[in-house]
Amino acid sequence: MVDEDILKYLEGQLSEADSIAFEKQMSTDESLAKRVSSYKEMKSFAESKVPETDALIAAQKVYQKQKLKLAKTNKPKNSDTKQRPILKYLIPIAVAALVILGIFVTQNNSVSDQNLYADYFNPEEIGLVSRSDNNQNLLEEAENKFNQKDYVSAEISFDKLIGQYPGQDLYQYYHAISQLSNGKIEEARTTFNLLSNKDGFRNESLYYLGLSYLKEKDKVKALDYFIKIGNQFFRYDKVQEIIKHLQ
Amino acid sequence: MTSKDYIEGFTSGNQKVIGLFYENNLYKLTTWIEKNNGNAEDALDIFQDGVESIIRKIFSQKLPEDVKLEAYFFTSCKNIWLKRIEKKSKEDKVRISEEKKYTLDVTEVDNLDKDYEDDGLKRMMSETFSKLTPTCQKLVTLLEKETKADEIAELLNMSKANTVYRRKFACYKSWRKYLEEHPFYTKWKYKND
Repeated sequence: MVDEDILKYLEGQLSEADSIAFEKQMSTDESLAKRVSSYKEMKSFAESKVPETDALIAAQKVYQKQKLKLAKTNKPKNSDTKQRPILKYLIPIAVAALVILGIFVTQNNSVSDQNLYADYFNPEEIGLVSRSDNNQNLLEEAENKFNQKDYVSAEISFDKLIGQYPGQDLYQYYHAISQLSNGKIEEARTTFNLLSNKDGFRNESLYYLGLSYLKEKDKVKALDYFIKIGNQFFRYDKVQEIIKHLQ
Repeated sequence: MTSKDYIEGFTSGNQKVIGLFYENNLYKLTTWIEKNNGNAEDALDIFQDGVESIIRKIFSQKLPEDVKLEAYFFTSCKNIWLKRIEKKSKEDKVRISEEKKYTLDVTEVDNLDKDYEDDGLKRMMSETFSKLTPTCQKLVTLLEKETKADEIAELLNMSKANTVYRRKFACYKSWRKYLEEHPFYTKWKYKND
């Protein structure tokens, strides 16, 4: 009996005679009965996935529209045209914010040097698992532990991932953040120094290198790293706060 | 739009909300990807990967509580992109040195734990289902929803309705194979014998 027949049986697509024959065979063939049972479970599970699939299909439709839109523009859109109007408003706001921040920082020295590390070591939540990953369990475990700020467990999970994918910079990066939190400063620094030479990790690594020196209260060295961070870094405002404080 | 609004829109498959999410966030990701060895098309693909990943997390209740969706989404996309360029650079290196085919490592399913015993079947189904290709996942689900074959063919870019049925059997067969390889399968089989 092939799998196709099992599906047809479950979906009521067999003739009455074939259906009876099928049931007869199933009553004597344990392995067939088991396969039928597996298929029943699969179909029931697939049914439970309908809302999720509907949502995915809706997203896919939006994606197709966006793809068409992009194809019409022929060339990848240069972001400048879109960015300028926003920047027009953002720049004065940012300047004002910096001035206010400056006043706040100079007048309010409640953030002691000792607290700087604790105040600024606040890694963003991460989402590592994507639809094409094979190692979803381990990735999920690492992701969850990291997001729960359980850096001891996160370090172990990322260590396992690095064992499987030694060249994966992303895992090295989150591993190093966990190590930094766990007090393994030198090991963390070695990784951040390597990553700071790579696209996509430069500013992030410089940030954590700076923090690693803050953790040891070495303000001079910390400043060396913070001032190298480029303004496209997503925490650039925080970096400016730290620099202002350190200076 | 708040994170809550977006999550609700994603959950209900509201194209308008998903479209807004695209409008409000695609540009930011495109800028970042263009600065990191990619182009607008790459950004669009990664964005979609990110959206699908968020939807899956919502339905599997794995999205962190009170998440700031846009920030979380942006980090996820960055990670997906960094993994992709790293994989690509590895593959290129392999090609250049004419080494053997680059293969992805496959992680074995972790050992059973206590909770596993309680909802082992559900988890086995979920884990094996996630091993199917995204097309297979959508296909079997749409069939269960009794969507017409023509419609499925159109949605999944298949040439004709016949292909839908051929793929259906192939998908289910792969799924059954994954089930039988799953550590919980023997236990489940034993329980049901």
